Amino acid sequence: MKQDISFVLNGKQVAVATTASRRLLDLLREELGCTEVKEGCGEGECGACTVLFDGRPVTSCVLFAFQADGHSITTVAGLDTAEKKRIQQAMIDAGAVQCGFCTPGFVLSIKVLLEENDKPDRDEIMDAISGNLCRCTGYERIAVAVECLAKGGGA
Amino acid sequence: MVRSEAMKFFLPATLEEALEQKAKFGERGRFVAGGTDLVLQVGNGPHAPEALIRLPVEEVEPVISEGRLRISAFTRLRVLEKTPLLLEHAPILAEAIAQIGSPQIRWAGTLGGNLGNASPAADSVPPLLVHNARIEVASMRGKRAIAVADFFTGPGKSVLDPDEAIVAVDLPLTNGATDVPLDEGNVCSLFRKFGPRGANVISSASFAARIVLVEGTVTEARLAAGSVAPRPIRLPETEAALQGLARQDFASPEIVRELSAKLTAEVNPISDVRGSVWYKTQVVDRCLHYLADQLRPQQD
Repeated sequence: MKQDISFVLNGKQVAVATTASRRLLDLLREELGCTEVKEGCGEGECGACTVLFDGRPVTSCVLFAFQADGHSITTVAGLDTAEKKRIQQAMIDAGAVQCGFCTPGFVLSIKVLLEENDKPDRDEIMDAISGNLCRCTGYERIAVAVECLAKGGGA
Repeated sequence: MVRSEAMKFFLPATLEEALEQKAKFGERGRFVAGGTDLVLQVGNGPHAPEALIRLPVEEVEPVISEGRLRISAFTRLRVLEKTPLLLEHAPILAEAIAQIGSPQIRWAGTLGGNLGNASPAADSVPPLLVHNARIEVASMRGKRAIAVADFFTGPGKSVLDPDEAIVAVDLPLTNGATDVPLDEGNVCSLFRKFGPRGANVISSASFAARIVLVEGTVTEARLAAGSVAPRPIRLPETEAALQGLARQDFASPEIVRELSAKLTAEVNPISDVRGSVWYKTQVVDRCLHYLADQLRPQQD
């Protein structure tokens, strides 16, 4: 049985019908075309499906779609262009992207970290990205990218 | 139980409305706070409830009222790990919360959800146990407060009635039973959680301690452990053995060995994917040794 919900997706109001058990991840990818949200583990452990829920990073594979009703969801595609470019450029410059599957999740976790704290130290960076797994880069280059952003890099 | 396609969701505008819906469905309905554990439980068919009822999720700071620290159950865990009142009055609770899941899980999840889920490994529980915290629950019939020590009955099970929701957690700002004001005793508190990595692990074992020393003697000892019994437990035998010990007693290998024997007899873990009986017992025993090291007079 499907019921109607509505929420703000990347700045635009959307109305959509969903079953109760459907995950937010599936609604975003299958109904709303947000294939930039990736499914890795499906258990809330890898962070590939990270989206912003009212500006807070959450893993969309362990949320019900209906929880989004009345709230605001932002995927990596919905970030402000200048901000996204800056984070992307820093990650490219540091060699922080290999296969890229985890990258949308990392970009969102990094965005939220820098919003709260524009000069994070290494421990704060590692805490902020502790819910995102990357099997290619070994994290060092990702941390370097964030350090570069904190020094005003990536522009 | 019904097929998951027939399941309905409810989006109540107020807590009262949510309680009304839950009273209607009883055990056939489930509250959804953060949802992070429930999604994995109901996603796969046979245990699907008939109704999922959304609870409010908020970012409110705890408050002090009538000598107790009161925390809304609907507060996102990520907020609590950094909240100044918690860091001041119950630092081990903030520390334990900061080790639940990942930042993403803690932004979604709530304290009420961590308790309602009733996992023997719930990381917020051992610190709440040693703080003698109470859980406030509400239903259409009214409110009641339950001691955390009496709340859990087994894995996934608690004394929560089918029409009740957890609305708050509160803990005394004194040293509890003996009512020693905080500034008259030295408090040594400790929380440790063990698992294969620092983030996103379910505890293989966890341990919390809160020891009050007056003039170098233990006047009150409270210990708790997670993942070593069907529910998070206090360790009364070991606590009694700690009572009255002087700081120099912790330098005595015999005394520490006796405490260790009490502790290992009190825990009752099972072997599972997160560790064997032997391993989990060793982990809590090492925590006790670490605690003894902290309590022993330090050489300058």
